[in-house]
Amino acid sequence: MFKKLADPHTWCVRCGLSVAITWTVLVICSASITLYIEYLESKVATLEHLDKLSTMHFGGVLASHISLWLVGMFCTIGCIILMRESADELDQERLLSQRYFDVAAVIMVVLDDEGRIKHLNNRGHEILERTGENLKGRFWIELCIPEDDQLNVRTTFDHLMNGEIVEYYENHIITKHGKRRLIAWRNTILYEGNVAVGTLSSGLDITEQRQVSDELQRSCDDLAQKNAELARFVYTASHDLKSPLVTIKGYIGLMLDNVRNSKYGEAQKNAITINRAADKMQQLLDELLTLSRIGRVVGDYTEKSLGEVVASVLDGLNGICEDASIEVQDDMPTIYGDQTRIGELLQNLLENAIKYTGEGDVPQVRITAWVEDNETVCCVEDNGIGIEQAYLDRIFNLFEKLDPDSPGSGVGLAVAKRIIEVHHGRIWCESNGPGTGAKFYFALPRPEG
Amino acid sequence: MDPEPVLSSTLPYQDQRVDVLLVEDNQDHAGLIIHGLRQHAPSRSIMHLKDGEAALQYLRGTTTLPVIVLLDLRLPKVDGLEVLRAIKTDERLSHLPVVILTTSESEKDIATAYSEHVNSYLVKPVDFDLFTALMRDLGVYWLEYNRPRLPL
Repeated sequence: MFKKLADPHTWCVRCGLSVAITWTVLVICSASITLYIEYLESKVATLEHLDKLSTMHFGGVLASHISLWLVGMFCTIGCIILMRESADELDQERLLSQRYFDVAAVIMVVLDDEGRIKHLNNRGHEILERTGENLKGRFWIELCIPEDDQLNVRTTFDHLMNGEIVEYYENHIITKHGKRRLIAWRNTILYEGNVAVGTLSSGLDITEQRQVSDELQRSCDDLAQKNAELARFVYTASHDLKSPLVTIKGYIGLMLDNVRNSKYGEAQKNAITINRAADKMQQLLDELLTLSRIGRVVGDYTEKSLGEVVASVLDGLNGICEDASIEVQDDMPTIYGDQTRIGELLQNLLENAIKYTGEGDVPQVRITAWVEDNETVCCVEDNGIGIEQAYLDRIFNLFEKLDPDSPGSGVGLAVAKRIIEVHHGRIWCESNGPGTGAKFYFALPRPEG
Repeated sequence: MDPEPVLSSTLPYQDQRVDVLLVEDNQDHAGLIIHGLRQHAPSRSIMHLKDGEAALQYLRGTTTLPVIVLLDLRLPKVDGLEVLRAIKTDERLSHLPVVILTTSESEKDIATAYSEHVNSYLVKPVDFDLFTALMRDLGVYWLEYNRPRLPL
C-alpha cells in the first residue's frame, strides 16, 4: 500500500524533514553566533574584571537557545506526525477510489494531456486482454486503437483537450491478440485550475449488443423487403388475373349480342378470344404457383457440373430450340445449389434468350461460365432484340413485359430472380440497347471449403 | 354503316384528327373499349397505342391534340402514371383530359393518380353490361357534354 501510494507520503515526510533540518540549522547558527558574541563580550568583561556577571549572562543565553531549539523540534515532530496522519487519510481515499475504479463493469481510463495512460481499471485491462500488464505511461491511441480508427480518436481527443466536451463517442479498440471491440465512451475533461490536464472516460463494450441490433435491423429490413415484395406480388397478381377475367366476361357479352343478331362468324371469333384469355389465366396461375413454391420448397444443395445441367435443360427444350443455334462452352465449372431449381433457372434464361429474337433472325445463344471470387458466374448471351438501358432493372419484376405483343406472361425472369435470391446469388443483365442482343449473367456462391 | 376504322401505330397519322387516344397494352381490352365507345359515338376516331412511350411520342409530335386520353396503368416501357405525370406537367398538354382506365383498384394507385391531377379514375368492370354502360357514359360525358374548348 505504502509503495503503491508513495507520492503523498514522500511529499509529507520530505516537507517535515526539511522544516526540521532548516529549523535545527538556524537554531545552531544563531546559537553559535550568540556564543561567539558572548565569548567576545566575556573577553572584554575579563579585561574589565567583570567575569562573574558575564558568565551568568552567557549561561542564560545558552539555556534560552536550547529551550527554543527544543520547542522548535517538538513543533517539527508534531508537524510530521500530523502530516503523516493526513497522508494516511489521503491514502485511504485513494485506495477507495481505486476500488471504485476497479469494481466498475466498464472500462475507466484516465489519460494525460498527451494521451498517455495515467490510470486504467481492471475491466479495461481485461477487455484489452492485458491483465497484469502495467500500461501506465503508454500512449493510449497507439497501443489500443486500431489503425483505421486512430485519426478519429485523435481528433476527438484533441477536441477534448481544447475544452470541447464530447460526451458520447463510439470507436473500436484492439486487444492484445488483435481482436476488435466496439466501445461506447462517455468522457469528461480533467482540469487543474483552468488548464485541461487530461481526460477521464468510461467505456461500455457494445460489440455484442451492436451485433445483435445490427442483426435485428437486417432481419427487419429483410422482412420489410419481403412484405413489400408480397404486396407487389398480390397487387400484380390480382391485377393480371383480373385482366383475363375482364376479357372473358366482356367477350361473352359481345358473343351473346352477336348470337342474338345471328352474326355467328363474329361470335366464333369472340369464343376464340375467350378461350385464349382463359388459357392465359391458366398459365398465369400455374406460373404463380411455381413462383410461390420457390423458396418454400428447397431441395438439398449438391455440386454438379454446369455442363451437365445445361445439357439436360437443352434436352428438355428440344421443341423450342430446334431452329436455334446454341453454343455451349466446353469444360464448364461446377455449380452448387438445388439442382432442380438451377435447371429451371437456366431453362427460363434460355427460353427468354430464344423467345426475343428479331423477326426472321435465327436465334443464336451462347452459354459461358467461369469461376470468379468464389462464385460460379454464368452468362447466357443472345442475338435478340436487346433491351434499352432504362429497362434493364425492370425486366426481373413480376409480370413486367417490355413488349405487350411478345409471347410469355412476364413471370419467367421473375422466377429466375427468385431462384437466385433463395440461393443468395446475384442476377443481372447487360445490353447495349435495342437490336444488340442481351447478356444475362448469374453468379452463385461456391461451396465453402 | 361501318364505323370509322381504328387508327393505330403512330407516325403516318401524325396530323389526322383524333378524338380519343387510347393507351392500352391488352389488345382484347382495347377491343372492348372501342366497341363500347362506338355504341354511342360511332363517328369518333380512336387512336390506339400499346405503350406509354409511343403515347408520349405521339402527343408531343402531333399538331392536333385528341379530345381525351384513356390511359391504362400498367403499360410497357413507360408506365401509365408516368405518362399522366408527363402530360400534366407539359404546358402544351396539361389541359388534356386524362382518364385512367384500369383493372387496378389499389388505393395507392388511385391516390397517386389524383395527386397527379388525373381527371377521372375508372376501374374496368368485369361485367360486360357495366363495361358497355361505362364506355357509353364516358363517351357522352367527355365527347359531348364536357368537351373542352381546344386552343386553336
